[in-house]
Amino acid sequence: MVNGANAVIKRSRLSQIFASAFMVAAFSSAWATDIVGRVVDVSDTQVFSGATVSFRSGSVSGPYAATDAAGFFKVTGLSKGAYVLDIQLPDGRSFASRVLVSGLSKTQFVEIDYSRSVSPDGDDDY
Amino acid sequence: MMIDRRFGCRAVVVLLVALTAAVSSAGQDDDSPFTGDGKTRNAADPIYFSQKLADFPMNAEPESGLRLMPPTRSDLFAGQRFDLRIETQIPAKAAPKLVSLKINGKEVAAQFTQKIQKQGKGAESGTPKSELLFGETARNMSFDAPGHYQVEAVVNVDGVPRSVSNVYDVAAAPNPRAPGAANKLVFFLGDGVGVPMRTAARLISKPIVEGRAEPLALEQMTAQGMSRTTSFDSIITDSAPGMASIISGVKQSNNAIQVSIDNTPEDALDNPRIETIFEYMKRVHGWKIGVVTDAFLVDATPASAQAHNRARRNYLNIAQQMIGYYDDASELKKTGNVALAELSQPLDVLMGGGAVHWMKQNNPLLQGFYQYPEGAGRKDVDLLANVAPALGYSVAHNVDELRNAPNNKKLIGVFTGEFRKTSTGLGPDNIPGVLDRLVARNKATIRGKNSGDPEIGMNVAPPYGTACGATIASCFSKVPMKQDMIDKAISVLEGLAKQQNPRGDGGWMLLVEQSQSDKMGHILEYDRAIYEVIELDRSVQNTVARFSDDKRALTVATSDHAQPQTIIGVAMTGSLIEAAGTCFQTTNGNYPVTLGSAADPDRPCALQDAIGTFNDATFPTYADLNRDGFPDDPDPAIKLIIEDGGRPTYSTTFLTNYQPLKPNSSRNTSDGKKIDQAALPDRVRQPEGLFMTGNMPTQNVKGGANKTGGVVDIAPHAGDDVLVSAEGAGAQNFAGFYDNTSIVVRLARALGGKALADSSAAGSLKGW
Repeated sequence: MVNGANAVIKRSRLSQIFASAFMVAAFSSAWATDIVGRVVDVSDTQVFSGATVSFRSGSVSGPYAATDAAGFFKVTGLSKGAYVLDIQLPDGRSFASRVLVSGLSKTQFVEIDYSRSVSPDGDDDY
Repeated sequence: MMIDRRFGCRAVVVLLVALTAAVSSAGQDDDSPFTGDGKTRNAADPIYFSQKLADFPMNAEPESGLRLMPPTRSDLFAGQRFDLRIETQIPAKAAPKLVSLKINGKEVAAQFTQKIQKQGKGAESGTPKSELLFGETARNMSFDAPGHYQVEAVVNVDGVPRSVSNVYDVAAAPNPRAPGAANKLVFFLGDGVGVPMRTAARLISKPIVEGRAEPLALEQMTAQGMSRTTSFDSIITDSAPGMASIISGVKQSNNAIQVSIDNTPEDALDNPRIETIFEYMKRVHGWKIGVVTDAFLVDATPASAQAHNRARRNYLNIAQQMIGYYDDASELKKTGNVALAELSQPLDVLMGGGAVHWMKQNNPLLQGFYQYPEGAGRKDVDLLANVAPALGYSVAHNVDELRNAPNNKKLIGVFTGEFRKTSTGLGPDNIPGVLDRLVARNKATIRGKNSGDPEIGMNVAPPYGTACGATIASCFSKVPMKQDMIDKAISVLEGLAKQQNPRGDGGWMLLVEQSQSDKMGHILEYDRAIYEVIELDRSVQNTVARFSDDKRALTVATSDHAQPQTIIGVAMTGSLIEAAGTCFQTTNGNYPVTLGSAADPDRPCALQDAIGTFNDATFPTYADLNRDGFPDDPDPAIKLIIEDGGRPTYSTTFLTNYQPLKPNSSRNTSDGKKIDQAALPDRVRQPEGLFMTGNMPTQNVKGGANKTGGVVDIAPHAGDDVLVSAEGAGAQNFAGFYDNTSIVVRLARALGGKALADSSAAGSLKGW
């Protein structure tokens, strides 16, 4: 039991080390990707024009963009990696989302759904 | 070897070995969908199958987001209707144009365009508002023969031809006249019932001698399989795609019912649809179809049988689809929904709760009988009082009316919900849980208390009138048990089938949902959840017995997803009562941790110490002296203890609440909105209990950990695989390990569809 437990701990640490290396490699990739996104609310069936979408990686600010009449925005030249998106809706509501940039295609599409950022209204929506 | 070749990176191998090992050892018997070359993918493969980083894998052309629906590798059968949609996701500089659409190499773009013109632009064709997006949906198409199909679309986007292709291995259509084919199906869906909950149901409802328990009826079914429940867009499905995928073969997105998600988020009804096997059997073979649930009728599972909507919360619209009522002066318009009305087949039998979605605001029954507060109800039409009777349905409001309803007429039964003002756990849309219905009938007690006890809260008049009974107990005792509903549903379906086909070979299929195994699990009312699973098992037992001499009957039981409950041991109820309040003291909502006493400072919290695990677990002592199949009391001398792997913060003594209660707290904002507080326990629910710190999100995390973000004030769904059990004609088709979408193909086989000898290209696309 003791040996088994140690083995698990060792594997876990090894995984962490490799995970860190993997993430560093991901962030340092030379690939640049354009993100086209759309800010929507699928439950209320609407798209948001005039929303602001700001990208950041940890505490490092990245590009930001506003959505057009059909709810679309575009930011360019993102490196492969994981980003947090802070979204400010025109009516004052704000929420956060995330996107993982693959770096394997020039353009990547993301749909950002406000209804996924809030708890369901009732107790019955699960 | 396979892992090394795919990843080519030792680090990734180490990271992902557990996942891949699980996948490769699972004994899967269908083709892996992850065989693409990666060139045509946008947000591409899941992270563990390549070095790509993406959290939304999709088969799409990367630069334009060009994609085809139904999703590639959907499990379709010949003749099954689907909407074929071609769309781009990324706006172009000028309107994109369709260049080519090939089915197995045969060009059909002209026919496709003609079809779109015939349907007309707008909702009927799913036309995007922006002409810079391409989006066209040909409705109600089908592949006319089994075999392999490749569909390839080319769209010219800003002068560049962009292409995408989907493949489908189409199974043979059901053929209920084939020898040995099932001609009646009862499909049980135990919502949220993972393996541990089946085990728990056995441990508390079956005798155990020398370690051997009598098996559940579910365990005695001929074939057992395992189903993977991942939805189109999440490893944790909700009940909408969880059920919808099972009976249509298309992986769907969370919150979606029998549709794929298109690029017109402004319209929840125009999404590309998929025909369910319920709709198909009614449309093609004239079968009668029904659903029975203890949730509200328009909830995701029952709605999945034949409704189509992007948002499961569009309840008013879904209610109309269930009985096939389209009217421009109502929530579900006739205009724009011609193709939907052609596809969606009205239910012949439907039973459940949620009168509020069916009755108009001013209907006095909504208050006096169903106990909704003033103002609740529809604003457009009264489906229950006016529309359904006009469409030929008889209407039942309680168990007596249900029993007396004719068997040769379509039937809708809507029953009262859990409306006790003192119960916060379930709400008036869902019919009371099994344990509470048994208590109302004086067939069970909770720690010895019966329906007359004030703490049970049933021996009082209903809040808004006495039309359902003088007391809450009498109202609840008029709500049918599941077996009442199933018996009547089968009688009506058989009656209608016989009426249509006097020779007696008319078929029917019934979906039976055990809903509150999920709903009671969400609020951590584990004892109540187990009673639900016992009711599911008894329903299965009775159904299998009813058709034991019928070689053409099939019974299937599965789940849409699991919940993260698990069995940890037993406890003496007396010890739990004694220990309650000795562990932690509440002071203004704060819970300082104190261990034991001055005399014994290292002794753990007495409630923790009350749990018997390993060799102290021994056996629980549930009794069924009234022989109704359910334990007479959920808190016997020694009771089973279940705990959750995912939960909001709550407090528990492990005892059964006298009424179902929400686990967490809530508060009202300055603008009057109620906000759930997943980080705080409900102060009236077992405040003397063990403080269980939540591990679910509590707010929209600005740190960006999460997409869902919002408060999760319940135990969540789990990503675990679930069991599939089958008995009767074609049951052998359900053995194996497969995606939930594969179940529809297995049903088609049990209903007489031939297994495919090969996957050669055989047929063509029909429906132009």
